[in-house]
Amino acid sequence: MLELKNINKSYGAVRALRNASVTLKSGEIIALLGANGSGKSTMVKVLGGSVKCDSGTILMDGKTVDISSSAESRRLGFSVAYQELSLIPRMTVCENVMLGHYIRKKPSGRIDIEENRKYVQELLDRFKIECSLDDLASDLSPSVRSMIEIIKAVSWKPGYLLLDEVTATLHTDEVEVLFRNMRSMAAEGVAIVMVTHRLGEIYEIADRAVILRGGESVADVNLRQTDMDTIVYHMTGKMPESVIYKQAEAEFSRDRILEVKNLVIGERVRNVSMSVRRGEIIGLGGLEGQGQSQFIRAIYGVIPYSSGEIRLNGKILDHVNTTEAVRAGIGFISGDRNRESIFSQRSIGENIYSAKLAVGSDFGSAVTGKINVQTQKIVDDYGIKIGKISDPVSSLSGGNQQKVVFGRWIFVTPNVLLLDDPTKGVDVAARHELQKFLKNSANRGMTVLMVSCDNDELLEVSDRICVFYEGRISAVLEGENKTEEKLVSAMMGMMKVSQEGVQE
Amino acid sequence: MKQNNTWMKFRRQPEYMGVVLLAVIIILNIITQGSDFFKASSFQTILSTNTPLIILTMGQCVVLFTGNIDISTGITMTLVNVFAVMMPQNVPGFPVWLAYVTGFLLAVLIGFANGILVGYFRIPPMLATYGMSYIVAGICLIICDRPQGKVSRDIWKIYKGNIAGIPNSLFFVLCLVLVWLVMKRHPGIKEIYALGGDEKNTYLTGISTVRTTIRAYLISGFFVGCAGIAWTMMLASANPTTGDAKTLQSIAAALLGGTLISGGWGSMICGVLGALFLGLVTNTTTYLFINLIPKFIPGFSVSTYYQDFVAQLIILVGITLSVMANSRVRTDASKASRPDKTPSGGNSGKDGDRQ
Repeated sequence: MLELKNINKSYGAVRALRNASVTLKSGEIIALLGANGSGKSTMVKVLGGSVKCDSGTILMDGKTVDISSSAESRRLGFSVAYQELSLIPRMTVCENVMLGHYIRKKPSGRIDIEENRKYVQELLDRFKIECSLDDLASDLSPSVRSMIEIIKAVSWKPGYLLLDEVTATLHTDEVEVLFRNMRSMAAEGVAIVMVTHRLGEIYEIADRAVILRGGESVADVNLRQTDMDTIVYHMTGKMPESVIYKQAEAEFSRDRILEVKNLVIGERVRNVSMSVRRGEIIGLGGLEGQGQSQFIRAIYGVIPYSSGEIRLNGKILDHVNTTEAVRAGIGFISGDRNRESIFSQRSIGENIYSAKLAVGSDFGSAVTGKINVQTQKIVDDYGIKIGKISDPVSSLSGGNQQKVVFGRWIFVTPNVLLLDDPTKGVDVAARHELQKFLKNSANRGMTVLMVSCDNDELLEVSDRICVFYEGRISAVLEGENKTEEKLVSAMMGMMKVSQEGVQE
Repeated sequence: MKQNNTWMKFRRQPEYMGVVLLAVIIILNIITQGSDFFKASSFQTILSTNTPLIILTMGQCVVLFTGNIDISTGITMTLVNVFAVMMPQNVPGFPVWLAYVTGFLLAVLIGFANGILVGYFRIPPMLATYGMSYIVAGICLIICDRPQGKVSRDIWKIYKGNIAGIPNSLFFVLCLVLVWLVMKRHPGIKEIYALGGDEKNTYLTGISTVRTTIRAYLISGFFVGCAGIAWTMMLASANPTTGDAKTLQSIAAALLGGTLISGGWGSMICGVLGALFLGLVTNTTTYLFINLIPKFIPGFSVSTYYQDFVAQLIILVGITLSVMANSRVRTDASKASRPDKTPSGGNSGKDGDRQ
């Protein structure tokens, strides 16, 4: 019996969990559900020991426990299969599974190779995984890797097994094998928490679902008595509304600027096609990790794509690096400013000028004085609140930093601007201004593709919303179809699209 | 088919390039040196001069497995040397054996201190061990400010002697290789590899990354201590300065053997192969200039700096080949899997590497 009571966790100003409570009996399988940023991953991390909660109590069989580290969590009987996998790429399957708890020979403490191999082979057989014990983890296919991650967690013989979206990369038959094993483990008394966004699955395997919204546990429902619409309502606060959408193909024949045909990126993006007109703002919606981020990064040349075709102004883009993308007139703004866009120690002027460097020649001159004069104009035009143009960009607030990044691209006026959650961690006022920038730019003929996790932003800014679900576009919403209810149901994969060109 | 499989498997081992490079350099050496290469005395010289570097590289390898680096190894080896030689001379009544043991323990202690700095205080390994190297260098100069002292003949005779034509220094190396072969069967070493492979995932598996880092530096200290003893017997005196140059050589040797500087890949055998390669390169170029070329061009004579130039050129080519061989193994691996990672190796999605 495990009880989590009033768990709180904040990352800076963002509250990931607020007074979330979950109970779990041994031998029970529950589903932990929630939309983007609802705190389900944080919940798993708290139990796995990689994140420490700010306040709240965790009771195990009535006794308070303190999960201070990942090792402590394992000792208490928790075992986690992580969505991002915790395998060491250059170690073999056997080593990966047994890492941290090798079966040792008695007095010498040496690894008993035979016993370890036997144990892992048994697990491989039980989960019907086809791979050799000596394969390196990096050589395996994604679905096998996920299965190895699962048996790595199972191999600890845990009392509480946490599965964080492990089924996302699995094939149907693998899911079946997993579910059969989960049931037999539950029968042996193991409590299993399953985090998933595939709502269809949970009815098959779980008895109960705990639903998180905005970090709060809003509902604890018996799945036998609850239908999918109610669950989606709890997750999003809206009743989903299914609709069959037909796309008006004729309209797209004119002025296409960007065309993507059957784009495939590994298993993340499967056969996505899209056609974008000049001056259009396309919103790319969906739960996190459904392939949207990979999709726009492939257009920008950050990650290679496996097959398909991208055309800009009718010309095929087969660039492999971002320099060519910028020269072809594509810009990219990431919401993860610190990791992917700003140079925090450099001046505001240099930050704005940086994209110009990619366009200019390798040995052209870039004098500080000239940079400052040119970029000051951008700053004035767009009302970015700064001290001096030569101040480091880290002196600005998050919203103004993001405006600097916008300014960087306005300076080079790309034809197509790609954005990945651009208003993440930006306050409301700055968010509105940034959205205004986008609309103005689009009116002047810039084409915008924006990934966003914020449904309101998508509905407000974009002309069309393409909703990604498991690497495919599950719906295209436009005009009167652009409602939050429909967006929500498409995000959950509850919408069928009957139209050629979007689905294969 | 089966043989083909074994070959393919060997090619994917970290030692692959080390073995190839060593084989090539042995052939080159035989060409330049002629049949003299097979003489016992020739083996003896090559091995006894290179044993300290071989052992030092083995120590460096363990740290490289964790993805860290130790640039204080050469000077620590010098400290063992200086301590073992000067203590019995400066302090009356200080037993010689105790000086060796204390010197050795000092090296282990310095390894431990490096481990604490890098593992617990999270100081970048380059900085922590660089700072440490200056502290150790200072201590060395306090004990012994210029090359001096003498190791008694009885001691260095053991090192330079041989049993049935096999040099004793080779036995020293083989003993340590044996230590490694036993050691690598322990979970602690697997954890060291795991740490170098992916630090976050190692932590998530419930392994203490702090303890694993300290363990790696401790093992390194043990090997550096052994290298110090071999170094002392080879020099047969105390020298506070020359050992420092061995640090970078040991890192180069580890890379030549097939260890990855980014961590998680390699073995101590790689270190041995790489260090032997380094030793043989110098030997080869020396004979190239004093033996082979004069045969064709009578009266040929150039400054020894040309020897160094050619030797370093060969080493650079070797390192390039070794790194390329390793990265090919990795691209083969990534081709087999999904290309969802960015070329820089970071997560292409939104999950930060924060914990």
